[in-house]
This record gives sequence, structure tokens and C-alpha cells, in this order.
Amino acid sequence: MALNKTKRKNNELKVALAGNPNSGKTTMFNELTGSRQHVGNWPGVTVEKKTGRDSYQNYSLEVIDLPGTYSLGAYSEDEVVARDFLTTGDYDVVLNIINSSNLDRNLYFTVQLLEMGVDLIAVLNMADEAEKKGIKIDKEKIGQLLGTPVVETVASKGRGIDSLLAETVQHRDLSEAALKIDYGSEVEDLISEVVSMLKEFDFTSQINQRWAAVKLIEHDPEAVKLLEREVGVSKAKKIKSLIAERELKAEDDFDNIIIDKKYEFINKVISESVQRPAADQEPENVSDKIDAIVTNKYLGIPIFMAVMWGIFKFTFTLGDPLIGYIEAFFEAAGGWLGGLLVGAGISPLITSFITDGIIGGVGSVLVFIPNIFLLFLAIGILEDSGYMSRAAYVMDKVMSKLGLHGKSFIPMIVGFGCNVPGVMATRTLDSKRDRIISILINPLMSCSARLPVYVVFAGALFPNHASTVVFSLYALGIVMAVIMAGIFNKILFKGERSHFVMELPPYRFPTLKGVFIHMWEKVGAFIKKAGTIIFAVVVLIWVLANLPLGVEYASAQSLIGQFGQLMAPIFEPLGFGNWQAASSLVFGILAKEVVVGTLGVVYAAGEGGLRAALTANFSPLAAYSFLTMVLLYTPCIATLGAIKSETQSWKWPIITASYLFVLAWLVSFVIYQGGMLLGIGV
Amino acid sequence: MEADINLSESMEDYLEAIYNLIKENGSARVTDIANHLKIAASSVNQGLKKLNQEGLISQEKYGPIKLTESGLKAAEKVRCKHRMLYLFLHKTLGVSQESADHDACRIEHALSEESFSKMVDYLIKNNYIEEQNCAFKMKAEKEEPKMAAEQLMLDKIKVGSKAEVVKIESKGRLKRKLMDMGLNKGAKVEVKGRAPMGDPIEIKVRGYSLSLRQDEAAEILVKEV
Repeated sequence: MALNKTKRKNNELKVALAGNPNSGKTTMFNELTGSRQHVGNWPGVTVEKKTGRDSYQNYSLEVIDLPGTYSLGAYSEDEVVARDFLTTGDYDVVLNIINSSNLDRNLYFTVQLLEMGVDLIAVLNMADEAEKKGIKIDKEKIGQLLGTPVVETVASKGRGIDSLLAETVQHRDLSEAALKIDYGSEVEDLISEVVSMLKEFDFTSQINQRWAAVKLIEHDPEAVKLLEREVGVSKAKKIKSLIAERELKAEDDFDNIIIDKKYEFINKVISESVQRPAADQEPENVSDKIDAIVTNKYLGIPIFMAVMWGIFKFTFTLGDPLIGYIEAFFEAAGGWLGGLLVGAGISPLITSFITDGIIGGVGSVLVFIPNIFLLFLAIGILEDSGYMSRAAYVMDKVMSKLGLHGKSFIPMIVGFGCNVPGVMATRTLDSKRDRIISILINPLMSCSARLPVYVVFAGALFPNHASTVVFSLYALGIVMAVIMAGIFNKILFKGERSHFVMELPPYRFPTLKGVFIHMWEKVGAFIKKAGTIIFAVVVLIWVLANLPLGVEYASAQSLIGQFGQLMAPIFEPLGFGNWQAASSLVFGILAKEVVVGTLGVVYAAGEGGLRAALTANFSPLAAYSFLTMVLLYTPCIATLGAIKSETQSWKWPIITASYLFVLAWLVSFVIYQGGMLLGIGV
Repeated sequence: MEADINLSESMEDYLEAIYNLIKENGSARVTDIANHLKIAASSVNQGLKKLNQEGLISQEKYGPIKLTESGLKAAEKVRCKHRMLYLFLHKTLGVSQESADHDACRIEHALSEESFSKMVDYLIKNNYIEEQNCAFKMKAEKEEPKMAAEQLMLDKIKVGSKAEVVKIESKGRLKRKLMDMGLNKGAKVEVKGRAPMGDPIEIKVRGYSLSLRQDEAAEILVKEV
């Protein structure tokens, strides 16, 4: 009954995969499409749109993996996407992936689709798990009761895929009536009255009218909006007031009655077609046993800490050598190409553009890749194994005290490595409010790129307390994050209530294929999206460092140097009002570790000489104030690019960049002026 | 106990408006209430202050207005009176639907306990209302306080105990979400455990594990089995 069905050739089919989360939908998608996948975004939102191709006999199938959803009453962005596609999208058939060992809740969604009149195949997936649990399903009977074809599969082992494809390409008679559940005389009378009103008002005939009536009666806001659009506000009001008037006299709220009747229907279907073992003969539940340890009162938090530490270690210990190789490769490539170009008589300016600008710029993007790769590998394993939702469960109390959600801890931990994947990891959050706040405070997690700056300064000016200084900076970042989360919580999203009604899926062994596909998608998205923005800015900065024509790269006379001179007075009250420090901060927006490199260039000193230059130019207090600035100020371009692509708006990167600059200035000001007053480190 | 609170007419209107707004939009704000009742926001604020003193609503600073347990009961009672009066006027006296609704709106505030109770008896005796109607619930609560005592909120259920859902008292989106996840009337739940810091909790419902925060569980009425 898809609304916008476009005409396709006879042997082309558009197939949508829909179902509850944790029903094996993505595994099924990978099984069907293999490597012929394309990942993009749904228009206007950051929800991933995954499509892929498959062929069967002489049919060509386009497969669309819809985000997992529990019902058509949409809550998160993901669910809205799935719902909009299913109610108005362009497709031929829906493969409804059902977790066979959890039929009650999975069929709730199936029933909603069937009521809509969707051409649907019920796919009883994870049939092996159900078997293990001793659940016997009579699939002919279920199919008969639901009025839809049923296929049994085990997507993770490739079982039943052929019969599923054979069923998919069958031409079914679409004129067959949609599933009708008896909602009791009270509601049924109202349904027929609303349906006749809809007919009278010429409500679109492309939507099943009974389904629309039921949706209106249960006060579905989207259905009301659609009605108002289609027939106008005044006619819609007539229907709405009829429903409201009846509800006043009804024995219960209509939405309660409708949901209760749906479950009643499902219970009937299950009792007639499914045999379950008696409660005492149920095989022991491994997930419950693991949970007893992982969420244990005393062990829960230490285990969580250990896992986070493990991810962090895994990502950065394995990743850093690879980063070294990539850096070395780009340096060598730049040097080699530069030599070649100069040798060929190319002008130094163009040579510098290619080596410093393009190769340097691309290199500054690509160095993040090993970390992102490993990080998302680790996150993929955690997600697929089922631990991720337990970690959120264990941490929710602490996080909600900070005005955040249990799941917000992942982006924060990740941010200590690099803010780019940190921002990307906020995707696991459902509510927009939780997500935006987590993004805004992520740059306050001191990323690994800032560490070289701390190390150089601490070594030069606090040789005896270097580690204390570095640790204090990390702590300062966390304190600021907590404070800012509290402030954003108050000013940005007043009183919006987030909830923690979340499934804790059974533990599973992650499959290599699933984890790798997951990881590849994330890394590909990073290279594509962030890459374009970062690349453009890198080139811009190179241009500014070389203009006006003929100046020395990044010298006081270049536009960047002039900009540094212009900015220097702003930093005067913070104790480092010289153009060198100001320029290094400007370059630091490119990538935080560049601060050190720039200081080296502008003080015209090598690594060893830099220490002397720093000791000569900074008092310990000014140095600490400068480090505070480096910790807190405007994040690097890569992070801002990630924020832009994750929020789909320029608003949030601009807010992040500006609030952090102001915050950094204020905190540094307090530290420097406070220190001056007390006479510390002058 | 709700009978002890003597509410003025406008207070009852406020309660009804808040109840309806929460039901429709999931939340009630001062401006919404003002629009709903077509009065100035400043007088709404005064009224809310009074309701707050009576312990019928709670409002966090700048947050949405919530009904407390006794506030919810009082609001349901006003609504129930409205329904009963409507039925009485329309079904027994043959008053038109529109007038019955309008008059019910005016009379509901002035109706005494005694008249209300007698009217309900009459409606029940003559089969104008079916079982499970709100009037039955109110009668049952009054006559059998013991029955009500066995029911408690899900957050009070001990780890390892089983219960059956009686009613979801949340409103708006949260209520829908809970029901979509399978927590509707009659669903059997088992409390499996608590997070290390006591919140959230893990329950088993319809064969799978679900987590809920304490304050979410505190809106689910259950009876122990």
C-alpha cells in the first residue's frame, strides 16, 4: 500500500527490512546484500540509510534496511524514519524480521503493519535460538491467523534465505483485506463512524481508512497532523471532537483499550500456534547469569571501568604506532614530491601549496583513521555482544545526576582519545536533547592531541611537577564538562523529560562480518564527510599563511601572523599577549598538536631550543594559563566538522566554537589574575 | 481521602485542564492552561500556587506541571462526575448531547457526595453504565480499601518478586512507550535486579529484559502475584 510507489520494471523489486531492534535485521541485511551496500543518510536527519542489492532468479532486488523500531508510534529520530517510510514510502514488500524467541513483543509490531495493509512476509528469524529454548512454532498456523506468508530463517548462519527470497518474488494478491482486530463494540462503532466521516471528507484513499480511523482514535499525533493536512483543520476538528466526546463516556481511555486488544489478539495467536516449555523446564538463561555478575552491586562499576580502560588502551596503544607510520608516510611523500617539483622547476609557491597545503592537509585528516578504526571496532563488539546497554544501565544514575543519559558516557570516554569519534559516538543516544548536550561538552574531554602541548610546557616550566600539571588539566576539563552540562541542561532544553525505558538484549557472540561492516561504515562516513570540510579549511589556512604574496610561510607578516598580532591584545590579561602565542592558538584550531609545531616555527627554534624559548617568554603562571586556554578553547576543525555533520546544522558547531572560546578566556583570566593577586608562579 | 479536600470550582477547572493537557500533549504548562481555560496567565499562576499548597500538583522550577497522586485522584473524580452527569442527563432524561455536555460541565462542581453517589447507584441499577466504568472504580476504592492496599507501585516490588500490571499512570509519550514495550494491563513482570547505585531497575516482561528508572517504575501500578 505504499503511497509513492513509482513504476518499476516487472523484474525489479524494492524490499524493506523492518522489525524490532535485536531481531537480527542487520545480520539479515548483510546476508542478503553482502558487500553490495551503500550507506548514506535519510534526508534531513543523521539516521543512516542503508541500501543494498541482491538478485534472485531473474529478479533484481533493492533492499532497504530500516532502523529498528518497536512500534509505529514513533519516539526517536530512528523510529520516525522507519515509520514515515513504512506509511508513505516507495516499496513493494516488507520483510518483517521477527525474533522467534520473543514473539509477544515482536508480533506487536507485525500486527501494526498488517493492520495498515502492508504486503508483508513474516520472517521468523533466530529460529535456532527459539529451538534451544524449547519453543515450538507452528508457522502454517501463525501465517493463517495473521493472514500473511511466514518463513523461518537463521540469518547468522544463512539458513532459510533461499526460501525467503523465493517468497519475496512471489506475486501476492494485494487486494486482500488488511488484518482486522476486534476492538470491542464501543470502539468498533466509533471506527465505522470515523471511517464514514473520512470518506465524506474525501480523505486520501491511498491509506487504509480503518487503520487511519484507529490511529485517530488512539490520539496518534502524526495521524492527526495528516488528517489536518488532508481535509483541513475545521473538518479534522469535527472528527476529533466526536472522538473526545465518546472517550468521555468510554469505560477506559481509547488508547488503553486499543493496545490491550492488540495484545489480546497476539496472545490468542500465540496460544494457538506456539508451544512453550513449562516454566520449570525452561533451560537456564545464560544472559541472566552474566547479568548477575556484570550488573552486580559491587562488581558492576569496577567491571565497567575495566572495560572502558580496555577500550581506551586498545584504541590508543594499537593506534598510535599506526598514526606514526601515517605521519611519517605523509612527511616523506611531501618531502619527496616537494623535491621532485622543485627539481622540475615548479614555482616554490605551488610546491608549497601541494606539499604543505594538500598533502599536509589530507595527512592531518587521515592520521585520525587508525584510532577511529580501532575505536569503532571495539564499540561494535560491545554493541553486538549486548554489553553496551548494560554499561548504560550501570552508569545511568551518575549520568542522570549530571543531566545526561546513561549512554552519554561512551562519547565522553572516547573523547579523551579524540573528540571526532567522541562526537560521532553520540549517535547511540535517542533523545535529541541528550545528544546535543553530549556533543557540546565533548571537546572538554582533553583529547590525546592536546597532550604534546602539555608535555612540552610542563617539561620546560614545571620540570618537578610535570605529571601533576598534566593531571590537573584533565581534571579541570572534566569539572568544566560537568558544570557546562548542568548549564546547558537548564538553558537549552527546559524541563524536557528523557526516559530510560530500554531493552537489555540477550548477550550474543558478535560476528566478525557484522563488526567489520559496522566499522567500515563509520570510517567511510568519517573520511567522506569530515574530510571535505577539513580539507577546505586546511587549504584556506595555507592561503592565509602565504598571503600577501612573497611573505615567509606563517611569519609575522603573513595574514595569519597579522591576525595573531591583532588577536594578541585579547590574550594580554591572560598573561600571554604576544603574537607568537596568539598565532599558535589560531593554528591550533587546525589540530591541537599543531600549537607546539607553530611555536617552534615562530620562535624559530628546534625541539630543544623551544624549551629555552618558552622559559624565556612565559612565566609559570602564564604557561599554566596558556595550557588552560589550549585545553578549553575552540576545538579543532575536524571536531567542528564532525559536529556539523552529526547535527546537520551550522548552528551547533558555531555555538560550540564560541562558547568554548569564551569559557577558556574566562577560566584562564581567573587563573592568571588570581595567581597574580596571590603572587603564585609570577 | 480526596473527599476531605474541598475544592473550589475554579480549582477543579484547573485540575481538569491540567489532566486533559497532560493526556493530550504529555505535559501542561502555564501558557497552555491559560489558553485552555481562556484566562490570563497571571491568574493561572495564582491558582497553581493554591493547588501546590494543597499538595495536588508539583512543579519543578521552570518545569512542566505534574499531578501528584492525590491530584490525579481528584482530577479523575471531577472527570468521573462529568461523565456520570452527562450520562444521567443524556441517557435518562433525553437531553441533547451538546446541552448534556455543557450542563455537566457546570453542575459537576456543585454536586454533593451524596447526590453523586445516589445518581451512580441509579445509573448502575438501570444498566446505563457498564462495569469497569470510573464510577465502579470509585465505589470499589471506597468500599474495599483493603483491595487497593494490595496494589502498589512497581518500584516498591522487591528484587526476585513477580507482579501483574494493573495500570500505567504515566501520561503522554512515556505511557505510550511503556505500553508499546509490552507493559499493559495484565502483563506479568518480574523484577530481576537493580543497577549498582540502586537505579535503574531491570525487569522481565513478555520474555525479555527491560530497564526502567525508579521514577518511571513509580508510575506503574501493579499487584503482587
